[in-house]
Amino acid sequence: MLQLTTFFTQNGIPEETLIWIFMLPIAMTLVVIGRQIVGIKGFSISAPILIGFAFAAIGLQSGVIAFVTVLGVGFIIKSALRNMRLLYLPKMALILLITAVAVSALTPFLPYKDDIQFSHAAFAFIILILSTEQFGSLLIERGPRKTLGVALETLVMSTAIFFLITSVWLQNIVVTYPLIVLLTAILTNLFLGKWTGLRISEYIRFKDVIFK
Amino acid sequence: MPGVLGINARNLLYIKPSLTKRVARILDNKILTKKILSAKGIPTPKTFSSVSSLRELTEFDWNELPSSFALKPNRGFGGEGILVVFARKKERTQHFANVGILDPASWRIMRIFGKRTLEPAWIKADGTAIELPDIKNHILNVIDGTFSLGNLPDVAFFEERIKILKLFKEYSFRGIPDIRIIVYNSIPIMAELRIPTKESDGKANLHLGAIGVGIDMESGITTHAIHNDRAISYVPGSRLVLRGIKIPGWKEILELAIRAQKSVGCELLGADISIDRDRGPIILELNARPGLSIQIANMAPLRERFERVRGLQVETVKKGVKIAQDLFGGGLEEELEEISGKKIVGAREEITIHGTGKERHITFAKIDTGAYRTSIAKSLADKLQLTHILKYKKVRGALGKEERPIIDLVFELDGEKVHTEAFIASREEMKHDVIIGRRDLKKFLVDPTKNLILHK
Repeated sequence: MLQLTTFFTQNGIPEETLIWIFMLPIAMTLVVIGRQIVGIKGFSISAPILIGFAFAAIGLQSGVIAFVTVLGVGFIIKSALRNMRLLYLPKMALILLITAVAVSALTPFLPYKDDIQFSHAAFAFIILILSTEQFGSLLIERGPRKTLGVALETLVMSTAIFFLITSVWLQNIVVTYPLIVLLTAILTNLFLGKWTGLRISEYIRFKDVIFK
Repeated sequence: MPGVLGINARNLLYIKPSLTKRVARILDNKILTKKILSAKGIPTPKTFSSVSSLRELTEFDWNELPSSFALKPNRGFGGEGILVVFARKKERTQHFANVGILDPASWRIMRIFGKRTLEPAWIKADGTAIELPDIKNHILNVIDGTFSLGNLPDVAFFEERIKILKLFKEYSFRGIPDIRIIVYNSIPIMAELRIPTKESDGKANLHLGAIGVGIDMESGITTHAIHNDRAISYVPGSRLVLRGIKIPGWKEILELAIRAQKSVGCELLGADISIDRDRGPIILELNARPGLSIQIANMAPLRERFERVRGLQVETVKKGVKIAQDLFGGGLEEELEEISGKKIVGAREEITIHGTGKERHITFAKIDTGAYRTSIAKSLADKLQLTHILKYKKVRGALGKEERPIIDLVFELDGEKVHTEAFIASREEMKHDVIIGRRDLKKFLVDPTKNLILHK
């Protein structure tokens, strides 16, 4: 099994990149389980994964602070622009732009840890800032209360993914048996694709009908 | 496995086989759906006009629009992007221009900052005004695909607003209540009255904050109500009871839902039907992905009902209605009994008469609210040795004055033991040996239609 990993590393791909790539199927499966079995909505499939990786790059504490800031600023800007009668895309670009400025102003004050590779940090911030788009469109279509719920669920999901991909134990497994990990992920998703049971959230939603 | 339908099962087991490419092409296009339904003679709301490009928008004649309309995205879903206006605000432009308070340049500056300007305006559900530039902006967003499935470019269209039925007026906040009927395999499965609230902005979509009220499939009478997935009894902020509303023309509505399903050829469908004051039931919209809250409003599981009718052969529309009413109706009676604490009896009921000893006699009695006292036939009273006469009383009947003996009588009706004084009468010519009068019906409600089919 190690052969695959050594093949990649010999061809100049850093081990850390490998870990992240091999972690992707696991993170995806976790998101699918969260959606199909638990019933956590989240912005989309990609958003919690991207944000989870962003957290891994700049540390959970800084990540969460940046995430909350991004959403908070995004919401304020959106409300401020509401009366301006702008078309959707330019309005969204304005929201992203101002959010980016706000986050860059925040960066010097974030509690980074020393062991974090700062090279990823730039990408982490870009990911967090861009997540404002999905947040903003949800805000426009569904209103603030629903959006706050989904944002919280995304935060929970992203944090779970953060813990998953930063687990040293799992990282070792992924590097040692990449094919087995991939196969397990494929099988799990095939199973989930045929899963027609109630989600945990639906047991709560329909409790009156189920337990009447 | 629970009979409640969840999103996973809905998507995989029911929507996926039902939503073929052809069906999706029709149902995801509201204008096309309406065209197909009209061709089959099914009533739908009128389309006034549509806008599909910036050019059409700039050339649009706003004076042609009626003062009240619904503006919808053709490929919208879940009630999003729908704008409903109720009246045109009186023109102020002319007046202000004449007085000369503002020059055009100042108007433009004010408009950039979203201030109140002097454009033509309409009134929205919440009573606020929406001005022409806002509506134009909304249409541009619709055309850009902001509200459409997959954010594809879209068409905005203006639609007639249904005239609200008097019955619904007090329940609804501005918008028009509609009836969502889930049809599967040509059989109506479950129904729900959806009532717009202030929160839902005049729209009847539950996830936007509208009220959902379950409907008994047999009688068309409302049962439980929910608001944001929680049980309620009254319209929020009022004392209007939500259960017990009888939907007029119930059978016709069920038939319409089946006909709509047959016309588009979709196995599973959520048909939204509204009742126009003049035109009667109208198909508002057809939904390929019906929501699941309807289960809470009806306190009944969808999946179980789907499985009961899966594969059934339904030849005619009338048959589909009948199956739905027989399989999924009823149950309302038990509930009514629960609320009132009274049992419901039909015009003819089985009773058990207690004899002097341990003797029990079972017979059918006629429930007669026209009589005060219960009467028992002399022949039967003799047979049961109920001969101890308490007193005599004069009665005035159709046959003139008569003096009848009164005896002690104990009988059981629908499990309720009734101890009473009853007349002895000669009832040899009558079908029933016993009639039960008002005096002994205080614990019951009489429904003359009950048991009818049973004894035909």
